[in-house]
Amino acid sequence: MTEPVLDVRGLTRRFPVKREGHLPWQRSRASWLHAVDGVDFAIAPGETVGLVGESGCGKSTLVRLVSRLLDPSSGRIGFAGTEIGGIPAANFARMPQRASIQMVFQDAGESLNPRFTAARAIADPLRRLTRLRGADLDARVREAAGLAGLPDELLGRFPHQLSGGQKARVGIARAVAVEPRLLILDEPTAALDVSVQVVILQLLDDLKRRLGMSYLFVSHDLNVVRLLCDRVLVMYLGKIVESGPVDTVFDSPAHPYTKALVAAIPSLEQRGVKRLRLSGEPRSPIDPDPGTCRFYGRCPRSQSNCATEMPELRRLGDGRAVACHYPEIIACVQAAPAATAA
Amino acid sequence: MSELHPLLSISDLSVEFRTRSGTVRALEKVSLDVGRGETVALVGESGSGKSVTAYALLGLLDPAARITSGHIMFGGADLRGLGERALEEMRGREVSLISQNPRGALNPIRPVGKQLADVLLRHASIARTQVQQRVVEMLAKVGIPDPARRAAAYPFELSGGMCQRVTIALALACSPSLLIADEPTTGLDVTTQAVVMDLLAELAGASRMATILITHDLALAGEYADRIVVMHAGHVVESAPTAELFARPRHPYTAKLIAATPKPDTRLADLAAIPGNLPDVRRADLPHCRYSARCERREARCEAPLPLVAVGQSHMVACWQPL
Repeated sequence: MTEPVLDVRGLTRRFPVKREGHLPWQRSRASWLHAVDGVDFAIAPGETVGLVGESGCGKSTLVRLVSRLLDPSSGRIGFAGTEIGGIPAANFARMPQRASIQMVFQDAGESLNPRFTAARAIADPLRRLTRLRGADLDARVREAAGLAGLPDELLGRFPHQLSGGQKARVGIARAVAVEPRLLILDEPTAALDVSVQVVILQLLDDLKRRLGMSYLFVSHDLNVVRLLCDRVLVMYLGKIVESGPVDTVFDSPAHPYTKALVAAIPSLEQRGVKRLRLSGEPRSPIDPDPGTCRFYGRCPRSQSNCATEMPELRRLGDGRAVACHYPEIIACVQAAPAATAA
Repeated sequence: MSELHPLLSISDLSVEFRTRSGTVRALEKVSLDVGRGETVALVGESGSGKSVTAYALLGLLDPAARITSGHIMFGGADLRGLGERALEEMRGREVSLISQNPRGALNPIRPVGKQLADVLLRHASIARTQVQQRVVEMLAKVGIPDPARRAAAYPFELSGGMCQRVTIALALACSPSLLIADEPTTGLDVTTQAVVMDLLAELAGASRMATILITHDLALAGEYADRIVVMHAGHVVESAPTAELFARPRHPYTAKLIAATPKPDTRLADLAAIPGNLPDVRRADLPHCRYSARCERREARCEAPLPLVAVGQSHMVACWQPL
């Protein structure tokens, strides 16, 4: 395999939380919230990797670590062969790699400066990260806007004069203007209506092909992840519980959590069908027991050793990895060779 | 609708908002019926008038809004003629609302059990001594674990899914005959969304309560609604039983909406965008068909005023040349 664009090993981020004693004279005790806990994954050039999971599972923290807006507690972040995990986030803004890792934020309306015109919003990262000035800068802004399908006549407008889809295009143009190799998309279509969502998803797919970027695509809409991504990472309470090719993972989820996630996608065909539903709440991410599976307590298939031994992420044959002692390997996957032989 | 009198019958409802930049004709001649025990989904893009319809029926419109025509018949009486006092009696007891943001709908400085008790004491004829017991029963009914302890919790101590369960308990406290669920699962995770929707469907089924489900998610409507009403720029463009709507959409907009919704087996290239935007509803010269500017099938006839006509068994469409 060619060298991955992004190679993350054992990435961990803990946040200190103070637990007050119940009574005034009791001392408060330092505790740690394990937002991201020993995460490993890689993204190949030109690959789109989806990241899914519930709110509070650490998706956003992972994204902020990888985009170097936040410093890891431990672990490595390799970017195109260079270790960038050790560079303090405050200094990273001035590093040459800053241009290579760009982000498209969730709500384009909220992430654009209301007092910047579209042109200025797109020019801002170019001014900071490149030497382009004057006419060259203007030309590059127009080119990036053109790539994102934003007509020239809208470049003089302020965010409040643009529609939701147009603001999303400004967000994308701004990110691709500096020619990143890795684009991190944090729910880029969550605020858009379906009619506009389609256009933006097709634009992103087209841009990836034309500019040869890799994507890390965060979304809670599994149907959207399936449309755009090659591989998917499923996160639960700071850990990756399953990863693999999107179609394999969604068609025959091995981890019970993935199974519940897929069963929760609303669909007309599943009307009235009794499906797997998760009961209860996730365990606390504060000082979790390192010997207990994070999904223990909500898992319909848990056994006694799930409470005493943390399952490691291990590979299955079909390009997949799963962190479960009792993964569900659907019979058809194993029976497939027999069926073709018969 | 097989029943003689549907529970709710909205006819020719028009609502205007007066704003500084002109009069917004938010709803124009909206008609829809909801039968007893029926779940009807209102779907459409943002700005299509889904929520305005619901708030108009509850009598909770913004002061800048004015109902210019139409009737809202509920259980045989026209809600438009009702005074504020009578409306207050009706809300919560007969019709209740679950809003988009559960935490925002709850009082942040009052324990959730107390808030439930307030509703019971206001609307239900129940002895003060039995209130606490009923509160715990109701929290248990919406699937809140350890309800006796959770009754004393403040909203900030509960997760988003738990808060939504509390608002469901509040809405169902007086066994209303109509529940309006305005995007009840936006902001919730897919796994929680599934649990909350299952719960709503189960509770509605058990008490024959009618539900208006307002959503922009066609797939969600497809799974939970008996009938779907599609809105576009303040008009009802199509109304049909769920399976029929997906199998044979007759309005071009409905067809486009279905084609734009990602499904597990679609490829990105198969999805088609809907060209154009919602028209500016402040314009005085809006065409009779507000979709015509975006429509590929548009012709001269489309200029004429168009009624909602039946094209099948309880399948209505507002289009001069339906698909």
